Amino acid sequence: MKAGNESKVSLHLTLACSAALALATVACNGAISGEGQPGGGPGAAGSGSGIGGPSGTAGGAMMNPPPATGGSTGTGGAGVVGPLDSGRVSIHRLNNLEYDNTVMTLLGVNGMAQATFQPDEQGEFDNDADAFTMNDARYEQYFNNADTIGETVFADTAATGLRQTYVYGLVTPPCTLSATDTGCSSKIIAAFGAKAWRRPLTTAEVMGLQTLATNAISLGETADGSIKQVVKTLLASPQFLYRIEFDPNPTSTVAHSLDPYELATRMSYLGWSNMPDQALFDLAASGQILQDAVLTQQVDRMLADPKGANFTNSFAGQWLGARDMQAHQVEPTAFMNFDDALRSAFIQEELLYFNQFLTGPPGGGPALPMTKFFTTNTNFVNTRLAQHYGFGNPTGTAFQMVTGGSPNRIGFMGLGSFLTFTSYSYRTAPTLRGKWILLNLLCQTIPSPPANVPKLDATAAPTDASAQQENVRAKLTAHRQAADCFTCHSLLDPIGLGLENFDAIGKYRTSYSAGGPPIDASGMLPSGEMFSSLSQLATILSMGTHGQQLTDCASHKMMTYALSRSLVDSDNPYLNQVRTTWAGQGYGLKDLMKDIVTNDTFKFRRGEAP
Amino acid sequence: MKSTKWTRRQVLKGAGVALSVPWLETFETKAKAAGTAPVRRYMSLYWPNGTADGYLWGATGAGASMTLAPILQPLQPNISKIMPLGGVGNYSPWNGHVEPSHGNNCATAFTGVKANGPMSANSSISIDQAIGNQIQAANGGTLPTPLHSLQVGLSTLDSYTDGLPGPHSRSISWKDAASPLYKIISPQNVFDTLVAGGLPQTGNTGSTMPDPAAMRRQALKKSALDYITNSATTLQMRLSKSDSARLGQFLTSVRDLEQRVTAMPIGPTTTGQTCSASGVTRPTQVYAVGNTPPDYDRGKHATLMIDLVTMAYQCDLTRVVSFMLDDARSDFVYNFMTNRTFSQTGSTPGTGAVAGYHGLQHAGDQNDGFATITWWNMSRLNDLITAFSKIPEGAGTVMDSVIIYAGCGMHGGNHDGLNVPTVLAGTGGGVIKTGQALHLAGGSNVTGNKSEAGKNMQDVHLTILNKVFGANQKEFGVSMSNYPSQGVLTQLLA
Repeated sequence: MKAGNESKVSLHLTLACSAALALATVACNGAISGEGQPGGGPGAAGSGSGIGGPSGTAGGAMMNPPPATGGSTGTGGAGVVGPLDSGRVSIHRLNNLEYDNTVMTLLGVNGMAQATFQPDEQGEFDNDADAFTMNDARYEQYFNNADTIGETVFADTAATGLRQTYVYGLVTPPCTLSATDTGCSSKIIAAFGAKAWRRPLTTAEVMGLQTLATNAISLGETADGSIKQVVKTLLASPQFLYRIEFDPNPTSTVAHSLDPYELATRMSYLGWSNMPDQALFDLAASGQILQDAVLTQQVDRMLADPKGANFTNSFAGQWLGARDMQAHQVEPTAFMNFDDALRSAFIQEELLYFNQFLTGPPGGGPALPMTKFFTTNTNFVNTRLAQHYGFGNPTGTAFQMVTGGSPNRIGFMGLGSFLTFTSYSYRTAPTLRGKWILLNLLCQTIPSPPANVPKLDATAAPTDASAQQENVRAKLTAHRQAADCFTCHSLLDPIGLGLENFDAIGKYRTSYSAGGPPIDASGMLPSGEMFSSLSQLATILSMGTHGQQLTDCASHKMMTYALSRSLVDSDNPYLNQVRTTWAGQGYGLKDLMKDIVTNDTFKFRRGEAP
Repeated sequence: MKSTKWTRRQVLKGAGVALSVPWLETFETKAKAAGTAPVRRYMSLYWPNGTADGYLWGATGAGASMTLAPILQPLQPNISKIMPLGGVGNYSPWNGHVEPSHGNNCATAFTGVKANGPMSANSSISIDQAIGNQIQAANGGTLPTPLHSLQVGLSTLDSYTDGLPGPHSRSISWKDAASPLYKIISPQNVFDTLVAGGLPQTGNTGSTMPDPAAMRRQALKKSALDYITNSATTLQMRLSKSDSARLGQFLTSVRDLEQRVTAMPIGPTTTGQTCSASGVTRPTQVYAVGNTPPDYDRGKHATLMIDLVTMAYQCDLTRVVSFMLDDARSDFVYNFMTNRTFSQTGSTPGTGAVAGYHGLQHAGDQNDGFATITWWNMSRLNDLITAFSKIPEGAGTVMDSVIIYAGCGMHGGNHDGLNVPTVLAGTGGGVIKTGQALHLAGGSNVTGNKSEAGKNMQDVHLTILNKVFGANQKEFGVSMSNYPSQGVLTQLLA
């Protein structure tokens, strides 16, 4: 992200998608190319390929199968040959964040899904297409909400009001609605429908919606009311609520290129958790979106846009646990000075920390390589957080980048957010800290715990000082004596034990209680490396096999998020292509995103066997 | 959902102020006259994390000599209406190897099937849905109530952290293997669901004629839903098999909504209530996960929700409810309560605010905070029994028709699925023998260290399904070789 000041970072980054962000987007007055002439698309029940697409340059590429790996990209995946499987993404309900963003862009009102709807189902990320389901209660929320939104927009009848800005104004030159003539209403329907469904409508689709409007008039609605009825219905339609990608032959497993509008939509929901803007629609209409160079330019543009904060908030918010921090509970009797200001600062810092690996440090400069994720000595603090970390005394609520604030606080594992949300409310849980790093940053598999796990704390309640000041290391050492426990805990505990100098809200400490024996934060990883400080541990986890696991894991996570589905074995050749390319680019996360969106698994899809 | 025999219009007519007979008598009388199945009602009541072990949980004896351990003592006022159960095992779907995760235990408890993981939310029909289907089948294939079932809960905190699919921790109701039925936590939304899109909010108050504006709104909604149904059906033909099935879920929801919109009463605007007998008005509280006001109070939230489910039963809007007091692995901080101090025989008000639920679960079995939360959960069960017992129905009360399965998929701090805390409440029309504590011993083929194994949880569900609701199933959920279904548990029956 760009900031006017060398070291100050503006606070766009909030966990919930800020309405202000979406409001900042330019209202779309231009029309999508092809609108009003929807006959260029397929028949309603015909082939789904090439909707509204040009027959020009890119069209020829659309039906090509993805090239076999092992060609020009020179994959590291030991000589994969033969046909690959680019995979497919299921129809994808907008999650609550995407719904709210999309409604804001489309109609300028708050969709209220995050505030009032059932929570999203969740796969590895909350955009996992396979995880989404529909039930009566959820659909009723969508339907009733569509009604409310339609009423709100059409009640704002001023010349600069919502109705004019987001609906009628889409048609240029303006036309006059009439209850007896469908000419103008059809134009409005085609223009608004193309935005709501994120692709041009076919003639048959416009006619179907026009019939809906005409029916509304026969039920006593005015001409305005008939368009309101169409807007409400579109907001409750599957083409709006789901991202639907079509296969020319749904039963064929031969890969084909995505339609340009489908690709623009994938890009838009990846970078912004939002519908495409006019620029993306234009690139879809011209077919240029199908070119790799255009896709990488769009990554640059989208991440530089204020809406790009959605990617950090959503992807990093989930991957790095900032959302867990939002929900994490802290026992007030153990940490009397923990409050929402500190919680908020933790979250801001974690997202800013991530951004320096994505787009570079605030104020400019190249992105840090992912290989430094554990070892960089930068922090992002405001006054509250600086005090918590014991970093001098920066003033103000704005966040400043601090380099080398303390030799004790290094890299991701020194962030207050991570150290806190992986703790219990009243004390640290080294096992959870270690497990979190292994699972989320090194992508290792952890065996399930056995039944009848003995408890670490015998009787003390979390509100008791004895539990809060527990020597957890000693307890875990005893716990590991049991053979049942040793196998897992010798794997899980060492990383967390190396972080015992940070309490359950991430404050540096040297003993479990005032005047108590000093904390021993040394240890040995299962692979044999010894360490006695966080900085040593961070270095070890960044080298050799561990370092490879870190970058491999980052690519796995981002590809999962970008495809909005879990990765399967057949994705490995594509993942290896991405990893090989990325390795030659210095491991910045924006480059990784470019490598992913230009990869065939992002640009192609297939049907499924009947 | 098939067409409803008693439309909401009839419900509202029945609720008219001139009605002098007890509200529900009309339903009971109609059922008898029609020769249909007697009114029976079901509730799954779930709480997470198990219970504090040892002397704090349990019950012994029967009738006047039944005694309740400290955590169960909130149920003392209704002791004749409950049956605390020991020896209920939530382990058979794993065939003896319990996977001790919160999400797995929760997903299994009311389905009797091991939910697939790690990313696919694949489970099986849950007992409340099976009972709803059975009620419909026993009524000649049509639902006797406007709603098949209702799913509610109180969790306002995102507790999803154990890497399993979210629905495994957040939903105890599953329509089928791929359809978790998320609960509604917002009291206002529950009310709106119960009244199916709401009564006419404005209109010709005082007139005896239907409100023309409301009639037009209804017609417009139907027109929109018709369009959406047609459009989705056309779309479905262009999709692959699995996507077509996904859109099928969508279509089902659209059609169900159309049924409810069609049944929506367009009468003169009167009281603005669903049924005047309940006295419940539309709550102002709108909550969502991560969205609660600063003065949010879980206790008040619970009271509102109990009022709403009571209204659902009282007005016969549905006969099947699932109610999650909290989500699996919740670490919600119950600091609206002060810790109670527990002893061998009871508990008394103590000091200090209660802390986070999951943290307390793992802070030892005999800690007062953990016990206080479970005690609070049992107090809510007691509230439900008391509320249902206050509504006259026929010669008795609604409670006479109710069977509540109150339980948890997990034993306690050990994460185990053996001997999970369970209480049945209500006789379900005289079928279940309440007023006794029962320990179910002696599962068959018990091996290894599972000597505590009693009876399969699925067999308790099966007993209710068959004996209270008149189904004739051989088993519920899966029957694994080490822990096969033993069929109906006759020791539960009156």
